[in-house]
Amino acid sequence: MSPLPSQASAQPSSEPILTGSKLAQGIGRAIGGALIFALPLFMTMEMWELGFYIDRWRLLALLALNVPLLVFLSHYSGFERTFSPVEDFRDASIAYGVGLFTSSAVLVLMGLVTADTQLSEFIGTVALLSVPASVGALLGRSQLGAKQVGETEDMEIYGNELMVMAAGAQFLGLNVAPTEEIVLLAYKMTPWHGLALVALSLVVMHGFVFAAAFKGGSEVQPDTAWWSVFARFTLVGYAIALLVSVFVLWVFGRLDGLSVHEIVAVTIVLGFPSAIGAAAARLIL
Amino acid sequence: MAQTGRKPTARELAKKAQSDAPVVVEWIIAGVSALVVIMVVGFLIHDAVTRDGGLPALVTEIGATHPVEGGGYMVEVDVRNLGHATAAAVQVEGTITLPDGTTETSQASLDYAPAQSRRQVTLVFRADPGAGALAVRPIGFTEP
Repeated sequence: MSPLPSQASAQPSSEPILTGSKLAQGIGRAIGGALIFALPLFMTMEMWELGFYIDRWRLLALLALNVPLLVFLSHYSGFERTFSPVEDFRDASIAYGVGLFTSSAVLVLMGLVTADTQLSEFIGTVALLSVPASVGALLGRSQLGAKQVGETEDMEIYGNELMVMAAGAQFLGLNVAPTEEIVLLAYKMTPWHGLALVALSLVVMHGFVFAAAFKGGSEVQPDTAWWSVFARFTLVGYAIALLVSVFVLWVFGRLDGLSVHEIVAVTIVLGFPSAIGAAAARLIL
Repeated sequence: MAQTGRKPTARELAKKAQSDAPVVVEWIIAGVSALVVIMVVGFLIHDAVTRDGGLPALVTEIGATHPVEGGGYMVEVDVRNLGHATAAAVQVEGTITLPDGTTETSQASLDYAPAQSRRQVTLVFRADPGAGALAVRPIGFTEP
């Protein structure tokens, strides 16, 4: 194993990931990433309650969709240049494990889980919190560590760009969705507010998209017409953000019993931070 | 596009060819997304023009009754808000009037009864609702 970190991460790796202190460093970064990304959620009351009463099938759906997300992020932005789905899956599993561990540790340390807590409540809460924590763990290992090789090449594939936007939308959306304020905003909003929010989301997204386009390593050429970029990235990104918002709201049971009007309103409200997350993810990842 | 100064590799050339002319697939996806966003916007405009704003209109409907372990009865109540405004802190009260004239009252509250939506509360009684006359009604709410 080379002693220089930058060399080690550039080699195609079919050897054991890390040994000794490098393993500890990697896990430490992963835990740090999980905390940075998921601590706001760890300390959100609604997440603890959701662990108790969330529909178990919906929670399973969320967990199931998190796995391909982790695999994609591992391939696209992982700690090492991974060369096979097996390695991506391995890194995703490690991230999930760190996410579960960090969630459990924080819950116990904050006294939210005690000896009296029912096992099913504990498992529900930890499973729910491990979703953002695992994403954080995976990105923490990469973003807090050495810069990846070949990241800019993969950025140019359209499908990858869409997946990155979905990941960003899911992350910010998940952070905000459990709170009561989201539905409250939707209830107080008039349709004109909704229209204004849609417009604002699109404008801000387009600003981000252009910033990412000129950053280099992106698929968009500097001389592409603005409406082409708007249609293919901003509109698509916003549609993705809305889809992700609807899914997350459904998982948390926020849509149950609502009329179509209210569903649209809540989706648009959550769609605003999700859209920002989607656009920002293209810049950051 | 090739950020380095060396000769472009085959992969980079393929990428360049791909990104110079956006593929049909991208336009299809863009079209579908535009459709979704236009539908949402159209829906909102329709809403803005036709909704009356107004007040919440709360209606309760008595649902199933279940016996409670250890004595007592649970009555499910559907609370519907037929209006276009959301009600918060909704109090629902149920009263059983037994044949001998005695009454029992129970209350439950809802955080929100969204516009045009349906929520459920459960009232708990000691007396059997079937043995007497059960009347359920909303008794108050606030603006969210």
